[in-house]
Amino acid sequence: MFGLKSDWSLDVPERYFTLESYEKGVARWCPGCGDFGVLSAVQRICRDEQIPPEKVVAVSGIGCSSRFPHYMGTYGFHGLHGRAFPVAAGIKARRPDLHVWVATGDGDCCSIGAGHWVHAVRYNMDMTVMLFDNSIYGLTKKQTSPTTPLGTATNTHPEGAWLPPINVLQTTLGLTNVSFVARTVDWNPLHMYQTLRAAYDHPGFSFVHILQRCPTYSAEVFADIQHDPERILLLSHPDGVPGDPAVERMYPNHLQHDPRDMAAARQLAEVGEKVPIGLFYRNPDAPRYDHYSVRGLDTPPDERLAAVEAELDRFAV
Amino acid sequence: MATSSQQRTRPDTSGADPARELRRFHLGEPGGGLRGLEPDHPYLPLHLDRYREAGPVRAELPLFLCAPDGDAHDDTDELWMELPDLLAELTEAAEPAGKGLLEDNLRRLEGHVHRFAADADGPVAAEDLLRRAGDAMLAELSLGEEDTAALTAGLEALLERVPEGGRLAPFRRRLPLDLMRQALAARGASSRRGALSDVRSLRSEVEGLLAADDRRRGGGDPDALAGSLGKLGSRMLRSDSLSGIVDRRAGGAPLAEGLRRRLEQALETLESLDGEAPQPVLCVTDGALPDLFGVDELPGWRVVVSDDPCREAGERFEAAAEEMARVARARKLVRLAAEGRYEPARHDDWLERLDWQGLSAAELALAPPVVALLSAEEVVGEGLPSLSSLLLSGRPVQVVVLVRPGSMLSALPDTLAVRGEEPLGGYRFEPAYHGLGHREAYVAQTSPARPLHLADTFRRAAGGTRTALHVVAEVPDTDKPPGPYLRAAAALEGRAHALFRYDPEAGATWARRLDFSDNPGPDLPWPDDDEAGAFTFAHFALTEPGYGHHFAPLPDGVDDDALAPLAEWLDLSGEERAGVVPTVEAVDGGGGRARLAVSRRLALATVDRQAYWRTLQELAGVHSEYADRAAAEAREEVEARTRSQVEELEARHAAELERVRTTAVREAAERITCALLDVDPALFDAARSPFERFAGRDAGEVSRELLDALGDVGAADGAAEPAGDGTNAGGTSADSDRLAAQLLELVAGGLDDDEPNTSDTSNTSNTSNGDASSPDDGRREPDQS
Repeated sequence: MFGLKSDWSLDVPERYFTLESYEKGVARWCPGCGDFGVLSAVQRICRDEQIPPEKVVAVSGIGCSSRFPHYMGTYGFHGLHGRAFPVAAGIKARRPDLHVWVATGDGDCCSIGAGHWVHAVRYNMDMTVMLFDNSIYGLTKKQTSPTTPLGTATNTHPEGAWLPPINVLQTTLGLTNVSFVARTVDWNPLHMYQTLRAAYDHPGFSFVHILQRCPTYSAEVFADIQHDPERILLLSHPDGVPGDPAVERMYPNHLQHDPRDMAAARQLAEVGEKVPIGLFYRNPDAPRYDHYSVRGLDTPPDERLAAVEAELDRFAV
Repeated sequence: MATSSQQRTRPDTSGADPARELRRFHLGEPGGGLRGLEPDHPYLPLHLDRYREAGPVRAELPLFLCAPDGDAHDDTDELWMELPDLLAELTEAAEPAGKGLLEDNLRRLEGHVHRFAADADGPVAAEDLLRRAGDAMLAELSLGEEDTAALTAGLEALLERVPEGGRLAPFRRRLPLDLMRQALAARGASSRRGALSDVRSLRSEVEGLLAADDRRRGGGDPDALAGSLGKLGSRMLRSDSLSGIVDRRAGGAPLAEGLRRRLEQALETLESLDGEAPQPVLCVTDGALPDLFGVDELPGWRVVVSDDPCREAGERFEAAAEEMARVARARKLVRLAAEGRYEPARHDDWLERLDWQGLSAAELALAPPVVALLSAEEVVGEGLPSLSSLLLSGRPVQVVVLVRPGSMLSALPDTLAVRGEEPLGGYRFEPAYHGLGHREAYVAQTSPARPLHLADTFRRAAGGTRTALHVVAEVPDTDKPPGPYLRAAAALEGRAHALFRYDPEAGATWARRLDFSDNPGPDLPWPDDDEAGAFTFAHFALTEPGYGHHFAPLPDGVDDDALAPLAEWLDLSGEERAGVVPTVEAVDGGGGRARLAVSRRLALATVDRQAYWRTLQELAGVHSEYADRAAAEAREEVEARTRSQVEELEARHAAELERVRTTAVREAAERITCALLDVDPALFDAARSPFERFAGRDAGEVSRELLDALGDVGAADGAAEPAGDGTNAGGTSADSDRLAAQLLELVAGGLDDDEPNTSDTSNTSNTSNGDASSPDDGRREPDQS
């Protein structure tokens, strides 16, 4: 009405953030490490969404990728090995206004932190989780990790890994109340950006499995699928990761996959000749623990104090 | 539910019947306890409240105006452009480094442009304004060095692409004149360029003609003669001596004296034309500029003050047109003479009589455009006869009438004003509708609240050859919420100032001639908002200070049945309206919602606005009584046909149901029996079918009886047990036939409750079903199965 444009308001936020606003220090990863791309994608998302830096918190455990919070010009928590999830859950429970990004590695998440992984998925608190899977313990110089492919020689298993690797997506999809599971590759920045953006937009625990190259210790693990686009199966769907012509041109194999179809998602997650990337599963209606943990947050301090004192008075003699 | 704010503003009617007080207010009875709002009341219609505290809003303004003397100005898109479109287009050129930053902050830049433009009185150089806005944006963003450099580069690239001479026109009172000047300056720019080029060519022609005539009249030129003799001839003959001998008139007779004189005059006329676009003439009454625009001078206009601007404009045009007619005569004369077709007897009289009506649009474009500017009050006063005369004259003069949509114009100002009556007591005079009565004039009603409509209206009129009347809404001169732009826009929404254009050349029918585009909700009685409902004339009136006393907050204790939203009240019949007070939803300055009662006078003025709107709708072909009637008839016909078809289908369906009800069970019984016993269906001749007895009976009951009967048959001949595949396992064909015959007999007789079966097989034991308690008489009671 009134001849106004549909986007009639010219009120814009007073502050404007550039990539610089989310940058801090010089990232110290090996040259060619896939972590640089992930860091850049997250900073771009924050910039594009114009999230005030003080409203972002990056949480990590231990590992190469867990240096992530140090390079974000935001709040950060570089935690204990395998404990990124409980820290992130604690932050979200007390400060639901913060945007939580969790950086965890294949060892951090799938080995020592596996117990927390299971429950973090089930709690479905609103955060974006990036599993940097380079299939190796890189920070400690090439030990076998839970995702090291069978037969891959490492310092702990010089004759090759004895056990088959854990299937990260199968495991996640098998957990109760899972709400968002996707996979991307670090050598395709556009797809990675779109996937992480979709994960950020998802209201709940968004789990993104990032196939991430370690140029020093596991350079060959993903070489085949990196150099042969035929090996990649691009998942597409109107409700999935937004398609981009450039990405679609790069990968000739496409599959229409409805991310609401759990059975199909689990089938796709099985190891096969082709590696699917994109959104496997999404359920925006899954219950979220943070919807319950916010209760009482707005209680004023004096009321809280009064409540505590009243409780203590019950034990007064 | 009443809000606290509403309670604050509610009148004190304690001690009086609130419903009665409300009715007294509505009817305008004096001495009532309920008083209307003060002129500076804080209320706004619910529709407008969200914009109350908003800063600049995005609409079509400020409008970018291209330099009118540039190229390709006959194209509207090249003449003006909306700011967001301009910025998006210019951003395309930005350096890649700064492009992202620039795109991210275009809205911020736009906001700064709005703020700077708001300080300007009229169009300002776009490049300067954008530069200032860009600087302000850079200062606001406080970016790092690298980003600042990138954004600065992007801004510079943007500024470099701003079309030279382009200006940004803000929402100001003189916006209509700025756009009119733009339209006039661009008026047939290419035609004028074409005409001037033609004039230059004709000047060469006539100069050539006169030079040749000079040569014929003067002595032979020895040099020219030497040239014509050639190399050999020059050796043999002396050109200077020969020139004295050769006939001076060789090459043709000199021009007649009269023609030569006329050609010389034509040359003089053509030379008097220069390439400069003529300055438009603006005829106004004394003091009109300060009154209407708050200025004493208007740059770019030649202002002529007159008591009667319409008459003055007509005379000014006549003078300018006579000049152009003189030019046209000269051009035609030169062309005829150059082609050797000029015949004085035939052409002189015709040339003499050539006036402006014989000029083409391109020739008229050479004359300075003439505009008469009046206020609506001047028109309804003494200006009406002059305006009428001008509209009937057909002279291509532009008449701009500025009108306040909220004012009540009356064609009888003396009588009503002298009596001091409420202005809503009469019907509003519509200058544009008055203009339509002149039939052959271009008439438009437009508003700066739709600057593109306004500009396009002017462009069309300026490019034509008819008298044009533009009734333009005045820009409100106030900063009171919701601000001047939204108040002007509210006039369009509330049908106080409908947009239309009447172009007699647009087609043979009214619907084609009357362009109704750009009106909000053109096919609706009132524009509708999902949340706030219809926006009526009364809603617009609530934004006008002069109408405050027509609204009153509802007193407590008024029965809701006595109230109706105004849009609903309008749909009531006259009798139904009698006991109901119309209301509008409003919001006060503190955000409190309130329901305001509307006076009867204003409600009836709303009825009048609606009636006028409907008239315009009909004229524009949006609604047509004939079309509606035809559509209703067609709809009725289709509905009747459909109804008849439905009835026929229902009857057939009922008949089919009845048939199925009576035969289906029988057929099913036959088929089951045939399938189970592998019997030829031909055995069951419909006419003699033993299953006729099943017709119309309950299917479950029949099934049970059939099963019983089949069990009896099996027991009667244990050697012929039916196999699972439907054949008689181990039996012969003779056995099958016998079995079938037995079954038929059983079915035909055994299921007849009234007649006990007396056949031989009737004594067959039914022990095969294991029911030892069943009577051994070949029959079973149905309830025993």
